[in-house]
Amino acid sequence: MRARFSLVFAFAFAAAWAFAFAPGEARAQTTTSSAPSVAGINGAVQRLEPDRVTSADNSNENPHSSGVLVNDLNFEDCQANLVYGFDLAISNLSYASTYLLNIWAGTQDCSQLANRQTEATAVCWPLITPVIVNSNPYNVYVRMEDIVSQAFTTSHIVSYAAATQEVCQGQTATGATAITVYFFFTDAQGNPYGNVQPYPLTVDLRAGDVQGNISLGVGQDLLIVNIPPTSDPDTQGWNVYCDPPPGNVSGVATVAVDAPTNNGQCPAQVPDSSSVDSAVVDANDDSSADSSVDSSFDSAVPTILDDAGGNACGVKLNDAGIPAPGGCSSSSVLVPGTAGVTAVTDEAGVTTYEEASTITDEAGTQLLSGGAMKLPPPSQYLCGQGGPASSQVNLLNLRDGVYYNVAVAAVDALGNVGPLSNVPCGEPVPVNDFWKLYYEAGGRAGGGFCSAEGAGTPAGTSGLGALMIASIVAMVRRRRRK
Amino acid sequence: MKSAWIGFGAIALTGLLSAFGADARASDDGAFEIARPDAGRSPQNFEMEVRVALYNPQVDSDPTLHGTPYAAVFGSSQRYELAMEFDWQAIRIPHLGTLGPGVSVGYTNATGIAQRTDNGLPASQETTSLTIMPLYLVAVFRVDTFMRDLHVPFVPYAKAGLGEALWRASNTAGTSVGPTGTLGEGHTFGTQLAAGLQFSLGVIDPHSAQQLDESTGINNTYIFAEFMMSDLTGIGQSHALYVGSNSLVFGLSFEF
Repeated sequence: MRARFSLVFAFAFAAAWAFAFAPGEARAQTTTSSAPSVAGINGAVQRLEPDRVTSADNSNENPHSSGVLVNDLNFEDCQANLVYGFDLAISNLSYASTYLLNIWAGTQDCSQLANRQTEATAVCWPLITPVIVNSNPYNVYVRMEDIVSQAFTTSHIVSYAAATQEVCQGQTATGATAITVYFFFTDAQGNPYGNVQPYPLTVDLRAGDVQGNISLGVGQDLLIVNIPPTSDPDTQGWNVYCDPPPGNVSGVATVAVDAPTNNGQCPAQVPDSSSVDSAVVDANDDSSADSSVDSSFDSAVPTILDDAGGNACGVKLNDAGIPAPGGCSSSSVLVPGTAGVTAVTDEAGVTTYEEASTITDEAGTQLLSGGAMKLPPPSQYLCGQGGPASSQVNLLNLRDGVYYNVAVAAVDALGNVGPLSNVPCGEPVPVNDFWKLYYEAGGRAGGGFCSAEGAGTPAGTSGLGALMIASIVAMVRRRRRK
Repeated sequence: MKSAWIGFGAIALTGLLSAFGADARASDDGAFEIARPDAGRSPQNFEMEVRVALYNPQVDSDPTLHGTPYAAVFGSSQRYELAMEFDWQAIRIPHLGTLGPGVSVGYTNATGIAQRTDNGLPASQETTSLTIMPLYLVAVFRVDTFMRDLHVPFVPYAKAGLGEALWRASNTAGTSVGPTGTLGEGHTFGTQLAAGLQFSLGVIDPHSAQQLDESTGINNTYIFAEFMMSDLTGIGQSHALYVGSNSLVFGLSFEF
């Protein structure tokens, strides 16, 4: 009796083990005996060069945005025209010539015919033209532009058409959307067969706007950016951009003078540099005029320029020699996100883009809605970052006397950088902090916690601290003795 | 310098007596006895104070300064110090009180706007701060015989010892750097004297006080007021930032 029971038990265990650890193809065969099936997916991200798909071992493999998951799809990915490459394990390949591999995207089960039958009722859209599979594993590529093309439209196409880059602007509201890519086989009538393999994605193509105008506070070798609070939960932080970038100020210090009437000299300012109380520096580093200028700005005597424009003495000029309000010249890199577009899809599923609208909140502040997403300024212009609750960001390591254009953009969880804010201009100026005034008053303390400050004071010693430690040790020892 | 000797002397005397008290522990019928449990009460050896002081650093009192840089930047508004003190009641003097060492760590900060040198517009938004962490080691003498023997809920006390403050001058960009490149941080030595009066909260509700003792070991809870003279002017230092303060201190203390 015991031997029979052991035999039955062993057989049952072996059967269970075999089922649990058998290859996917074998399991698929037990559930679908007459149709091919997508048994597994290995997702990867690859770069799609214009009009072609790169090979799997392309040196540009995995150009995905840093800091986000492989199944996160953001504006930068879309704009870069990336593709997902999938390796599909196909079961029952001998039947595959009868059936077509379908890849659809949507928010509901796309294998269901009702979800992809007509444009009016479809909640899914195709990512490829259905194909006959002739190899296992089968490599297939899906363009991110195609994935997002219908994600934010009310009606959806049911026949594949390659999307263009404009679809990357299709999201007008902030926040992430869950989109799933479905892999499955159908017959010629579109009826699904075999397993359905979903691949979930998080799609977010838009970061929020800066809700109001930023302003600048000044300090010594620094600017303080005042950022209005945001009510957009999508905003996970702020990027601050400076033009010229900190540490890359190659401009010339100039002082505006009126040329024609005084032969290029402003009597009140020439030639004593000590009388110069303000300066203007070229904000555009790529200017040809900049390449020939003095790089030792701090110590150099400001160059007296002749604007030849009949301006009054002391008027500040920008790098183009034109009087500029506040001494600032506008930045060609930092452009406020004022010109936006909004995606509109008509009944035929055709998406068009309209200018962004401006709305006014209850406080009377004008806000942009649906402004165009753009790739952020080059990273060299990034000069500060803040958290979502930050109302101020300090921009350090700037130079007194240099005018900086500053803009702020919201950043979301998927690394999208929103439209730039207004672009105020500010100039760091010398200030009197306590330590400076103390020294000017004759004080000479300081030098660090470990500095030797006089006879009898050993360097690196906080004498009282040592005494306190000794006292505590004595207490502990005494307590132990008790 | 005289006050420094007072501080040194107080600490040295306390250390000596503490050592004597430890040695005399076995024979508590001598002139001094260590703290020991009273009948029905848990042992009492330590006291902890939570202190809030009205702290105004005497930076501008430095006679080598010509001007008042502290007042110019931070004004004359009241600043506060938050501190903790831990005392060891090492020696009990019968029918008088306790004597022992105490240590304290505090924190205070003054912040103002660093104004533009040219007083132009827009106004500066840069801040400048002076952060001070006062420390001291003192001998603490508490006369608790009024409370223990006469049931008067007041305990006068005095403290004397040495003080030191770690300090840092900073601005929005970080630690300030002087015109000669001197870093705006350092430490200043000095003396510490104080006298105060504690009021025992146990008299308000003796039953609760007894329960507190039984459940937590806290013998007495006090509120106190104290006048503190923190003369941090740089003992043995050729250059020192005067960061001491003559302050009123209020707080809550626990004996356990």
